[in-house]
Amino acid sequence: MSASGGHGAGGSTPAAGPGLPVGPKPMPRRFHQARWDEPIVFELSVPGARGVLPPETEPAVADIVGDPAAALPPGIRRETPPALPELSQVHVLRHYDRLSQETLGVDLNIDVGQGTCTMKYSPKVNDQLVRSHRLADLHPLQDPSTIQGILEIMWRLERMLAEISGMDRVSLQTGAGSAAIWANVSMIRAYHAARGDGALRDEVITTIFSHPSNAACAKTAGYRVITLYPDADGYPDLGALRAAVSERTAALLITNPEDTGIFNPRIEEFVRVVHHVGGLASYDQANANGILGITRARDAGFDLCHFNLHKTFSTPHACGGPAAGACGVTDAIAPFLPRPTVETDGTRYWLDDDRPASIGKVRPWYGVAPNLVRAYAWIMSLGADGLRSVAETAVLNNNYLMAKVLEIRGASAPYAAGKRRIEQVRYSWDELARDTGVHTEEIGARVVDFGAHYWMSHHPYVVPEPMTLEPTESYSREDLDEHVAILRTVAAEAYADPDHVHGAPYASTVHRIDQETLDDPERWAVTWRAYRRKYPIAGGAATGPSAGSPAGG
Amino acid sequence: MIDRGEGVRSTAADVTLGLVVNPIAGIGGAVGLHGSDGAETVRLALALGAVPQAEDRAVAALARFGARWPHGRMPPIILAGPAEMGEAAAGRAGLAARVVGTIAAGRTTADDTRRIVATLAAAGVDLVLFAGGDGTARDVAAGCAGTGVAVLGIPAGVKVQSAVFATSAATAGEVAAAFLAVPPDRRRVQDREVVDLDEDAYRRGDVAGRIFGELPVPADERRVQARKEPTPSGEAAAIAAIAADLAGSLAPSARYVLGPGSTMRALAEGLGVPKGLLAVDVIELDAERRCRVVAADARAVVVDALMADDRPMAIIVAPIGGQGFLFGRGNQQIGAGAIARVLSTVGRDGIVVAATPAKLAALGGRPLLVDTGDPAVDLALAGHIRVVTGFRERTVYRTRPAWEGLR
Ligand SMILES: Cc1ncc(COP(=O)(O)O)c(C=O)c1O
Repeated sequence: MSASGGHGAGGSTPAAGPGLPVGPKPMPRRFHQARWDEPIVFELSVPGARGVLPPETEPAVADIVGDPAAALPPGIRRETPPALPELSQVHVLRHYDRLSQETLGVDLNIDVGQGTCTMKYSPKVNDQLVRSHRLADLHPLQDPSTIQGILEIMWRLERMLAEISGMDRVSLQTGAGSAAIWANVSMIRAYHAARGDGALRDEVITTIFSHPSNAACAKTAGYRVITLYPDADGYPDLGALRAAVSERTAALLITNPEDTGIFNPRIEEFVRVVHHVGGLASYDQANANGILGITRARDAGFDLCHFNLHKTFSTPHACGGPAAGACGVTDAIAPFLPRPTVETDGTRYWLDDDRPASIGKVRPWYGVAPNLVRAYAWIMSLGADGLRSVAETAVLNNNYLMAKVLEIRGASAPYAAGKRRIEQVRYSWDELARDTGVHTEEIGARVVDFGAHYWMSHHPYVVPEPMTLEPTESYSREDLDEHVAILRTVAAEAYADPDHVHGAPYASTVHRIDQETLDDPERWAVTWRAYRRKYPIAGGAATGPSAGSPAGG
Repeated sequence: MIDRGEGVRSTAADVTLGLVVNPIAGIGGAVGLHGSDGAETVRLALALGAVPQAEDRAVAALARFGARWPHGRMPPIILAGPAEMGEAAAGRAGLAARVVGTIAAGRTTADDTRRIVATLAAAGVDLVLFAGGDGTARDVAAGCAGTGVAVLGIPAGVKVQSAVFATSAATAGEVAAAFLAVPPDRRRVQDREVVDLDEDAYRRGDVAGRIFGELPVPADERRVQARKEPTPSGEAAAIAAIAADLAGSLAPSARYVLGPGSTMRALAEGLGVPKGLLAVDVIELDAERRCRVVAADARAVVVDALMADDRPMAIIVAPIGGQGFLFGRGNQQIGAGAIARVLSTVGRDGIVVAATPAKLAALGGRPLLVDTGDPAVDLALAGHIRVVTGFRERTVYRTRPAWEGLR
C-alpha cells in the first residue's frame, strides 16, 4: 500500500499482460475535476445575442391575430421586457455542461459516501416516460376528465405505497422528505386541535439519530422539541422516552433504522408508550430501502409515516427539489390529509378538494407529477418480489461494505458491536483522528481528489469523527471495493503524511471555503432584506458587514 | 467574541510569539499515572521509564507553524522559556528564539511556568503558545491573569479537558500561524474555559473537574478543543439560545440559584445582572420579572438559608466540563440540603439543567453524575432528568450517583 495520492493502494487490479502497451489502471483511480471558473449566466449575456430566431409572422397571419398582447389584462402586461440573459444556443449548452463538470453525482461517481440520502441509480427509461408528450403536455388546470391517465397513476401509486406501509391513505403532494414531515406534523397538530387537545399537547419527542428535519418541522409548527439520546447500545433510550412522555406529548417522530443503521427492535414498545399518553406516532421512512417488503410502519402501530420517493423509490433528488414525498396515514388521520386527494369509483378518477378538516395545500396542484410517474414505473418494473430483493441487496451491500471498512486502520462502527446493520452505517474516525490529528472533514476534503463524495451533516457529533456510508442496491461489488480503496488510501495517508491530507483537496473544483463565515450568525443573510441590511451597497459594490456590527441594525 | 486587537503593534514585522514548554507534561500518562502533577509523581514516572514528550509536541507545532507562515513575510520574533522550557524546542524546529527567564534545568516547577508567562505577557507578545496539559493551562492562566494576552495550548498532557488546546500539536502550529499572520485588528479571540481535575482524587478513580478560569484563545472552532464540530452557528450561539429559553421561562417573584459556567453567565447577562464564571449566585425576580442578585458568589450556608423560603424557586445548573457532573464538583456551594428542599417543595421540575447538544455529545453516552454528599439526594436525582438544550429544545438524559458503580 502506498501513501501517495492516487496510486496503487487497492492491490486488486489485474496484472498487465506481458506485451500490453498500457498497464492496468491503478486503484483508486487517478482523477482530476474540471474547473472552468465559469461566470454566472447573467454575466455571459451579450446584448442582442439570440438562441432562436423565430420567423417573422406572415402579414396574413398578423392581420388576423392582431397584437397578441392586447388580449392581456393591463395589470399583467410588462412595460419592459424581462431582464433575461441573452445567449446563443451553444453558449447555453457550454455553460451548463461546464457547471455539470464541476459537480459530482450519482450518474458520475460511486455515491455511497452520501449516507442517509439513498443515492441509488434512477433508471433512464423512466425519464423517457416523463419526457413523453403524453405527460409533458399536460396542464394541471385541465379538466379532470381529460387527465384520467395521470390521475389513475396517482391513485395506483397511492394504493401501492399504502400496501408497502400498511397505511390506509397516502398523499403524494409534498415535494421533499422534509415537506412530508412538515405535512405530517401539521396533521398531528390538526388531529389534536380537532379533539380539543391542541393547546395542552405542546411537545414533540424525537431522537438524536432521527433526521433533524423531524425536530425542525415540529419546532416550526410551534412545538417544544424533546430529543432523546441513545442508550449505551446505540438504541434510542426507552427509559428516557418513558420519562419524557406526558399529557403534553403530541407525538413521537422517529426514524427506524436510525442514522446508525441499527434497527430498533423495541419500536412497537416506543409506539405503545406514546399511545398510552394519547400521543401519535409518526415514522420517518425516508430511508426505507433496507426494509421494503420486510416490515411496515402500520404493523408497529404507527399512525403516520412518510417516504422519500427520491430515495427509496429511485426518483431523482433534483438537488434539493422538486423531489417527492409521500405521507401515509391511518383512517383516523385521513380527514386531515392535504387537499386535494385523488378519488375513484373504480372507473372514473377525480380530485377531491372538498375536505373541510384538511390541513390545506402543501404544494401547488397535486405534487411533482413527473416523479410520481417515475416512482410508479420503478415499482411496476420490480413487482413485490423485486422490492424485497432491493432491500435484501441493499442490506447485503451494506454489510459487505462495513466488513471492508472496518479492516481500515483508524475506522470503527460504534454501538451494536458484532451485529449486522440495515441499510447504512455511521462510522467513526475517532481512532484515526487521535492517532494522526486528521479529522473527518479533512478526510472528506481528500476523498474528492479520487472522485468520491463525502457527506458532512452529522451535527452534533454524537458519534465522534463521523462518516456515514449507504451503498443501496445499485452498486456492484467492484464499485464498493473501489470506494473502500479510496478510504483506505486516505487513511494510510493520514498515518504516513497527515500534512498531505490537511492540504486537500488538490484535484477538485473548489479548494477551501471560509467556514468561519458560516459559523457567525451576524454574517448570515438568509433573506434579501437581511442581505441588504448587513451588506449595504456602497458605491455600487457590496461590502462585508463591519466586524460584529451589521450596519443599519 | 471579543476583539482584543487594540493596543497591539500593527506592523507584521514585529509580530512576537511567546513559547513555554512544560517539559514534564504528559509523562505520567505514558506509565498509567493519570497526570503528572507533583514532584513525587514525576520522579515515579521517570523511574518507571517514562520519556518526556512535551518537547516533541512543541517541535511538531513549531514545524507546522513555520510551514504555514506566509512566504516572504518577516518571521515573528520568538520569545521562549530557557532550555527545556522552550528554547530547545525552537532550536530543534530550526527557529531562532530569544530566551526569557531563568530555570534550574532538570528541576522545573509550576512556578517557572507562571513566571515565564508573566514575563511574556509583560513583554507584549501577540500570542503565548504553550505545551502541556490542564495543569499547565492553570499555571498559564495564573501567569497572565489580567493581561488579556491571547493564549493557545499544544496538547501534551495527560489531561487536556480545557477548551484552550488545539486539536493536535500540528493544528496548534496552524492556528497560531493563521492568527499571527493577520493584522492585529482582524485577530479574533474567544474566552474559553480552563478546566482541571483534582489529580489525587483522579488517580484514585474519582473524576472531579472544576473550572479554574478563562483564557482568550484564537477563535477557531474547528481546530481548538474541546473540539466543537462545525455546527451551523457555533457553540456561542447554542449557549445564547439556551439562555434565551431559560430567561423566558423564569417565573415572576421567584428565586433562583445559578451554578457556575459560561451557560449560566450567559443567562445572567440576558437577565441584566453580573455573574462570576466560577460563582454560585442567587437571583430573584420581582413581580414585573425584573432581576436582581440576592447573593453573589454565595457559600453553601448562604444558599441553604436563601432556599429555606416559601417563594417559588429552582436551581439552574450546567454540567461541568467533560465529566458531566451536575452536582458535587465545582458547585459544592449548592449543597444536598438546598437540593432536597427544592425537590420536596417543587419536585424534579425545580432542578433545571442546561447543556448544549455538543456538550452532551462529548459525554459519549455516559450519564450525568451527581455527588451531593447525601446518598438519598443523589438517588432522588438518579434516573432521567430534563435538560434544556436550546430554544424550546429539550432532552431527557440519564443521571446517576457518581459513587454508583465506582465501588
Ligand atoms: C431519514 C430522513 N428523513 C427526512 C429527510 C429529508 O428529506 P429531504 O431531503 O427530501 O427534505 C432525509 C433526507 O436526508 C432523511 O434521511
